[in-house]
Amino acid sequence: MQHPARQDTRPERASNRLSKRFILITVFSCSLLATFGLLILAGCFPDENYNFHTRSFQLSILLTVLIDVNLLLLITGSKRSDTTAEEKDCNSSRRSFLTWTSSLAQSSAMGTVRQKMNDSIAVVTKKKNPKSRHPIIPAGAEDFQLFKQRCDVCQKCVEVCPNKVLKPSLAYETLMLPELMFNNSYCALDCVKCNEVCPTGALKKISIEDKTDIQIGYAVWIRENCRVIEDKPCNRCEEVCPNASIQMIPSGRFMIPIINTGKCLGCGACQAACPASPLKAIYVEGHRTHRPG
Amino acid sequence: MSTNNTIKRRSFFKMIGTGTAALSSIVYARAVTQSPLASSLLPPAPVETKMTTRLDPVTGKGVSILGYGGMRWPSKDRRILQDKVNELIDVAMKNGVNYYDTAPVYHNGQSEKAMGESLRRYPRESYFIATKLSNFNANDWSFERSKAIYDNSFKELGLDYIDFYLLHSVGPGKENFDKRFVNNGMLDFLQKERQEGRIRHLGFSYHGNRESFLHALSLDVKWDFVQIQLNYFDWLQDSDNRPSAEYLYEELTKRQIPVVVMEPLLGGRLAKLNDQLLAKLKERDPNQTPAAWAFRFAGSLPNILTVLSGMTYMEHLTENIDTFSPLKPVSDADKTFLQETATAMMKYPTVPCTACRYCMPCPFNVDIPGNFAYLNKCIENGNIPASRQSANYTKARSSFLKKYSKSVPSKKQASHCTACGQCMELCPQHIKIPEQMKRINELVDKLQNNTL
Repeated sequence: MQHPARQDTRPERASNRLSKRFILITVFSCSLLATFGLLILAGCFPDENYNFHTRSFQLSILLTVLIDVNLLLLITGSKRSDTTAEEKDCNSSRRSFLTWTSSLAQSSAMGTVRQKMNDSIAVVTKKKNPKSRHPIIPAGAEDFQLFKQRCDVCQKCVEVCPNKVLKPSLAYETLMLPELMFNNSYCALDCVKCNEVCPTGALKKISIEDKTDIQIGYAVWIRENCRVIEDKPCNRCEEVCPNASIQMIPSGRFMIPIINTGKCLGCGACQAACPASPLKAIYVEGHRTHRPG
Repeated sequence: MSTNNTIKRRSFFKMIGTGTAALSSIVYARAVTQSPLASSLLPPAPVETKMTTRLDPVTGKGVSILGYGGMRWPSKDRRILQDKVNELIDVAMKNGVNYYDTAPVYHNGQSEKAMGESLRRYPRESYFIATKLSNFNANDWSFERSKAIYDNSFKELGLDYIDFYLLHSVGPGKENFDKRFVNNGMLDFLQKERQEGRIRHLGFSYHGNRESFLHALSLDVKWDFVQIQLNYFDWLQDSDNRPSAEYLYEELTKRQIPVVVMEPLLGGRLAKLNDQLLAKLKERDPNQTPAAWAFRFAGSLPNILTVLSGMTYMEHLTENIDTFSPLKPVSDADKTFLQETATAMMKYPTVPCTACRYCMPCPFNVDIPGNFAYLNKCIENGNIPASRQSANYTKARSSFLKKYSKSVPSKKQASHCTACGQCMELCPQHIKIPEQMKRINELVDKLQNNTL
């Protein structure tokens, strides 16, 4: 009764405060979601060894902290207009409290998330990415450096490849340079079409017999990715090898494939046939310089 | 009101600013120090190699257990590819390989030059170079000719001192040794050179019979090291003209002479085992390559200064660096196991050629190591049909003949051997080359005429 005006506004202010609290909570939950989103985004682009990009990961943390702080600033700033001096004092201390606690909470939450993620990543990193350290180039190219010098990336060999294993490289250093990718098919030993069409001599003209005597790479088995250690017997790689370079031997209670790297030509038949998914359990590692078989 | 409010807001901003900075730095620091994910943020660590080293008693410096042999550099049309040599030596140096072995005869004289050129880019004290007195030919036995070989090594390498100097391939006998090194005064000369510091270590490389070995050791010369052929295949193989590696090693250890190992892979044959032997090794340890087994066997012996390997390809080099960084010694059980493997290998009647090419060039243009390499490959992989009644005779016959003409051009095949015997004196493995050539020729004849 002493302050009719204030009494009048109270229910209004209460509802106002409620709606503000609602906004605050929504914005906070949104920002939290954004935090997680960014973390997941950062984690979703592993490099070739299935490690997570650290720089983007940390950038995302910094970004989220900044975004959240700004959000807080916005929220608390918007409340400024209709408050008394005492409430302002109270508000400012509340603001600082909110800022500190929320920042702390955020960082600790992110710390936990990171810890959690590390734990979960540990399982993932055990699998190895089946990727050759060195581009695999067709028989007749002899040496990668020479091939790089001689090839003028006309893509004729890519067009003519019947198994579609010869593809232009997407890596920066070797952009558009043809390389062999064996995930879907393999380089047939009775085919020298790429050598026939090459106009620059980057791929030497070789006969089919020559081809069976050139090692362009060698198969590598990845235990972690293989079905056999999950008690699912499999010998697809042994079956398909055209050169009998793979044999199955007992190792503990499993039968595992072993590769005779002295015989292996690097045709990729085993890699193409490997049923392990999404990461193949056998892949071809390219030789820098091709070797006589 | 507004003043009051502004101040509050400023302090509020300040607080937020410092809070954010502090928190982000904490988060960052935590990420850098704790997270394994952060490794990419740190600058690359200075090269710290884990390569096992052995102490050289003369200089007191560490010699890497992996030594680089200069006999098998990448080459094309008989020319060493200098770029590739540089690339390989760069990787080797970076990973702690500091022993480089060469000889005037390797690659027809190109090896010393190529290695000198490549190594001169590094500080002289960061590597050891070894080269040899290769006066095999009787024409070079005079003091002048031998000294010319010695002086030429300095010229080719472009260095003012040689760390390890070897009398090359001691072995055919006592007389041969005396004629090559003692009677012409070469040995005295080399000892004088050692005193003057132009040679830092004097030793000899040895392929031969027991007599010449003991003769060389009995001389009044301080041998700083001796280079012997040592691998698990030769360890217990003892014959008249060739003592076992175990005997040689024990004799040298008794005299406290450090041992340099050559042919740890038997010319690459222990790296390329056939399917049966490979399966045995892999059953024991699926992660070990046959080459790693052989290197570990040699490196595990305590009196070994370095294990030489002539690595042609970058993949070989990186694999060997992995094997020796650090070396994981083989256990006694492993040694027994490797001896069993060696016994199993002996069942195959292969030719003990290591493709050193000392026998080349043949006056009749026979590619001696090429013929042996092909024969050995076929024997080890069981590609030679035993008789016409064999199950896959037709296929094996055509495959053998086709691949033979492809591996060895017809002008260089065994049929051109006239058994002149010139190569036999030069062979450090004492292979009876004419006999073996006859064996190959007969096999080819029988297969060609269908009379096996």
